[in-house]
Amino acid sequence: MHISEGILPLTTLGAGYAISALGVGVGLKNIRDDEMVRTALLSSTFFVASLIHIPIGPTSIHLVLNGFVGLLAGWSCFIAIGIALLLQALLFQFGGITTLGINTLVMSLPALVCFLIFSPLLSGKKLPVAMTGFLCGFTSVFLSALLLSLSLATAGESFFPAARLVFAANTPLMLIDGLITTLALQFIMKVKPEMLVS
Amino acid sequence: MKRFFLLFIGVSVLLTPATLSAHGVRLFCWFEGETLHGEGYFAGGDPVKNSKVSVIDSAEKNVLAETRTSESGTFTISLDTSIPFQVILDAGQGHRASWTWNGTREKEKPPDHRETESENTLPAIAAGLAVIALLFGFLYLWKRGHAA
Repeated sequence: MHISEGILPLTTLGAGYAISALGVGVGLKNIRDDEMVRTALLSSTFFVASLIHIPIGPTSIHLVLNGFVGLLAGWSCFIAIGIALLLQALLFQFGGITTLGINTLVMSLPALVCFLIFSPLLSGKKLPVAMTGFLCGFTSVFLSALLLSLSLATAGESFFPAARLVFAANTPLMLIDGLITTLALQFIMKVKPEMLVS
Repeated sequence: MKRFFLLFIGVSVLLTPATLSAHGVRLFCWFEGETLHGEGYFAGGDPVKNSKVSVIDSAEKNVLAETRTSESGTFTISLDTSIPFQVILDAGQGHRASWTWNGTREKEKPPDHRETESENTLPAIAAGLAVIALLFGFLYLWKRGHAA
């Protein structure tokens, strides 16, 4: 789910960088000393998760886990995801430097939305952990696929079919990410619940 | 906490030079009949030009054939495909990639690149994790400096 270089117009790339920079700025302002290690670990998780490919039919998809990162990192998700995407671009040529802003936005904004929606539900124990995890993982990939498709659509009508295809291709990933996020949250709830319930 | 971060940064600095220099060489091979075709390129997509390609017998470790890559990074070699062998691409300065053939036709379609991929990917993953640790270490120290 990375946008390659040379596709999107400058306005989309610029908007991506501007909004992502704003998110990173808020994250840098708010991050506390005791959150550094956790955010670094979440950044590492996101960095490595994208390298785990799951075969689906003739193709394969990779894990995203941006909902999981968002839920645990809050506003710092822009820092965690931005750094991971920068390293993926430099080391594996996933995405690119000109598309780093829009790729960070596509991944981090849904992560933040999931934090704002699901963190209070988790803290207030209004939903079971399993259901919260699944909805969080599903929603984050759903929103990321939507943002990705909208971004591609800004490149012109010739990219409309690609935008629809990208969204459809990510549907299985919504379910898989939901499942993995569920398992991860259940594990954390068992071994270190204070990470989830503030 | 501060000591933990200093340790984290120290370990990362020790790891980084070894891993960052290991930018990947990739080697893909496939058969057309009895002819082995191959293509080598760097992680950035540039072809590995005029580099030595060796085919080594997996059992006896004898050199079965040698050739060099073209300007576009490709090569072809006619081989006996019934015996297991390893294709090694030497791009110079320690950059190598290999591809293993087990002597059966099961792996012909699609070619199995997993071994080569993992060989090239692991150092990059280690480098990435070290850089993340470094960046957050610096961020921690920077925030502490501003708080003081």
